[in-house]
Amino acid sequence: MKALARTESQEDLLSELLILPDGRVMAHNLTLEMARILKMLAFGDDNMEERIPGRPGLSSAKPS
Amino acid sequence: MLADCRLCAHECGVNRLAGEMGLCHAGAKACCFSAQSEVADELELIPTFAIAFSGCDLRCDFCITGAESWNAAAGEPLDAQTLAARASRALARNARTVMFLGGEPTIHLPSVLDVVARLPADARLVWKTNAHGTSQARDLLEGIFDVWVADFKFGNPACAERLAKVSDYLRVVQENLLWAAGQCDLIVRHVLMPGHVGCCWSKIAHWLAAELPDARVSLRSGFWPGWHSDRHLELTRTLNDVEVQRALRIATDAGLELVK
Repeated sequence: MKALARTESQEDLLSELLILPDGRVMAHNLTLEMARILKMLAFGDDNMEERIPGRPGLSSAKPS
Repeated sequence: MLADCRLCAHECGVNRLAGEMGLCHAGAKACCFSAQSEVADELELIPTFAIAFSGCDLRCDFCITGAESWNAAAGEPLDAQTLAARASRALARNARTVMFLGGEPTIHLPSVLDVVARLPADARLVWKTNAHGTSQARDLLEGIFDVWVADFKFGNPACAERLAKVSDYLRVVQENLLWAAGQCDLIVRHVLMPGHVGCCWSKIAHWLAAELPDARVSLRSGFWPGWHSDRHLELTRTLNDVEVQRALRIATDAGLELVK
């Protein structure tokens, strides 16, 4: 799935997501905007938390 | 340089300025298929303004950007000035680095350097590569980039031949990694592939432990079966927990320093 988003500068941004049957979501070309959305959808996801500037870095590895 | 192209280890020697094409099918003019700030790379590099060049000298069936990596004309023709201006704005906003990737940026080195020359002198530059370049490419890269993120994809010649149609893979990649380690910060990245923890990752880990024990290693578990992965039965799925845990044990046992 490809997802387009607009930023304040109105540049087109593109992230690709793979949603697995077990609920895991993998992201490619992950933008900050998409990371924030994924963080909202998975509140306890530390992997996403540490990719958002201004948030404290937490443990565990991030899939590519 | 492009009149006798020997930037990648295929060393086709074609005249790209005259329209001849080697294995990568790249011409004289580079194209880009993506340029945006991203946060999926190693934590010390993000946010990074990532500039993705179209075309690649490898033919990995599992390539997550296969449509653009196998087509050097994908995307838009490079506009170095505009790209550099966008990258500079991103750096001023919140980007920590500017990353050059592909496809494979090595095959477009002259264009890459054109962009680099227009960036702020203090910009932190990342070279994201398949590490399949030649000594000629390395000569051009010397002293330019602060960080190399080098993909070490295969741990044995058979998997490299079967999955990426490339021969002499290990020698070339290892030569590049040893050179890069003496030049700049080096992060060796390996995307774990289902069914290849033993034949590929284990071999890579042991080589790194022996030859580049101080290298930082980024072990990625997010393989997804895209592009032509379905040509290989084992690549039609994602990794399972057993494989990921085994891979981490291999890294730990080898004494590797993993980065997130």
